[in-house]
Amino acid sequence: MANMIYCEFLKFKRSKVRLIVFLGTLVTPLLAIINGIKNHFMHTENAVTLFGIYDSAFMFLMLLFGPLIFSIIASYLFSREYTEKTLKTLFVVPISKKKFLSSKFITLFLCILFLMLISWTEILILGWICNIAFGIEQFNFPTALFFLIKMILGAILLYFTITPFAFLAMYTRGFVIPMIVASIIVLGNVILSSSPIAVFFPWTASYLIVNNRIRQSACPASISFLIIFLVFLFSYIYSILLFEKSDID
Amino acid sequence: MSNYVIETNKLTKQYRNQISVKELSIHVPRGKIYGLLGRNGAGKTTTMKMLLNLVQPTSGTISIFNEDYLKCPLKTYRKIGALIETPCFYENLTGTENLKILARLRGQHRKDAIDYALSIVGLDNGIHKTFGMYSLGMKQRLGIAAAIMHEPEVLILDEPINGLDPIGIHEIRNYLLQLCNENGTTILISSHVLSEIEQIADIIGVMHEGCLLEETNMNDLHKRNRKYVEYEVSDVYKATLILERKLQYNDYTIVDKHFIRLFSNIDDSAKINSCFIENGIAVTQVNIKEEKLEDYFSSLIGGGKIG
Repeated sequence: MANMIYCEFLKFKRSKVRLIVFLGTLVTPLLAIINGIKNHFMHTENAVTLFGIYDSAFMFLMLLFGPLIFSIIASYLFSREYTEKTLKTLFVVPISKKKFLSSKFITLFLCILFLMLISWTEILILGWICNIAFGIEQFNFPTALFFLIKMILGAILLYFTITPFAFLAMYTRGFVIPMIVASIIVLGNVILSSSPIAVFFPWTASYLIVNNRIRQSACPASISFLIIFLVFLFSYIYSILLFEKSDID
Repeated sequence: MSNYVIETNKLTKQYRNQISVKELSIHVPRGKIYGLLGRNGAGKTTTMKMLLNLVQPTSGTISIFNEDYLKCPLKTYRKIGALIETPCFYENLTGTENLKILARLRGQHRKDAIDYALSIVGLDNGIHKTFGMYSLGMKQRLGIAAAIMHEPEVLILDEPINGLDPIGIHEIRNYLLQLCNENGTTILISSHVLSEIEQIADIIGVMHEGCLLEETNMNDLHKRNRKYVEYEVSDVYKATLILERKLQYNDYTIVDKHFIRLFSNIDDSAKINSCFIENGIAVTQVNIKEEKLEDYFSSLIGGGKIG
């Protein structure tokens, strides 16, 4: 399995998707800082704080950019074997179909976790630059550490909700449908994030759980957890079943 | 225990209403080169994919190394190298990196396996190019390198010389013969180029519309191939009338509207030639020939060209 995961990462070498995803993660901290500065100028009593920057960036990542960027990685990981027709080259090796797909799911998780950590680091660096340039309040390590834990938890929950895009990429053998669905999901997040049913919508529920806002709703957090986990479980199991059943043409 | 490394029994593959392979029974002996011939859509690639466990058969059995192919697939297929259709690798990776992936996934490799395989196929100079920059011939060479890098006991090669230049074809042909003769590697190969199969195969199987029409030893085929005299004449219909009515020769065929192939009375060619000329038929060429694999192939599948 370790060899398979190593190979999955090797397949990213020189790939353009790396740059696209990296730039995508860079947008979130920049937007969060711009948002903080804009608020400060509109309402001078609102100071620019590291907490505020992290909080905005976390929201953007969990509800808007995360589902889009991570679904790009999921689609790329799971559809490229079909678009580049490499399955027939790999499976004459031979390798286990279940292990092969599981390694892709693990790689997807590691990518999401890594990109969340990259975002966290980018926010810290940009916050530090802003602190030197015009000074931001509460620029301290405990705040950064608090959000590091939040972003790791967010990465885990976001991963669970990204797996349906991996299944879709495999099922449709391409990029287009998962990206369309991801865009619809993001729109759903925007519409539902402040509604009472947000706790039942896995993509908003993951944000609410990590942000500890699920307590404000009548629904227990366990229900939201269960929904998120079932989304992952169905995506994983159906992907394995579909892949094991299908011929390699 | 049978001496066949690969053996199928009534192997069938059906896609909805279309039967791609129908009750195919082939027998590939150990240490021999088996040439699988057939036109496009004959079912060669589907057969090879079934043998490699890429495609599930609808019915029938496959035995590899005298065992059912699903008994221990990971162990069985590690001893097989394969190239199916046009080789496909990751376009953003170099040839070495692509082979590294396969080596990692397979495990059990000698340390210099990648360099060795690349040097065999003559790709050792282009190791810094990514696969996306490769020419068709280079892609094909990399596909062959991937198939041979773990020194398999059996090679399954689907159209391996596609896109190769004449020197490349010659090199790969010699390498395959060397593998078979010196290492005892069993090779199952399909090709559009009949002359290539003719030069290396010990046994051939002819497929047409999913069925195996014939499986025969090349030595037997050479013995069975008939000699004939080929006349190039100005009026082929008048010439056939003379053959049938005046000379009572019926064992002939017409080829390309100007050629008559006479399979009997070969020693009477001078007499037949005179008879044609006396009756006002111009004879441009008279040649004594022997049936080749192409003729055999055409006669089996009912004429037409391979392709």
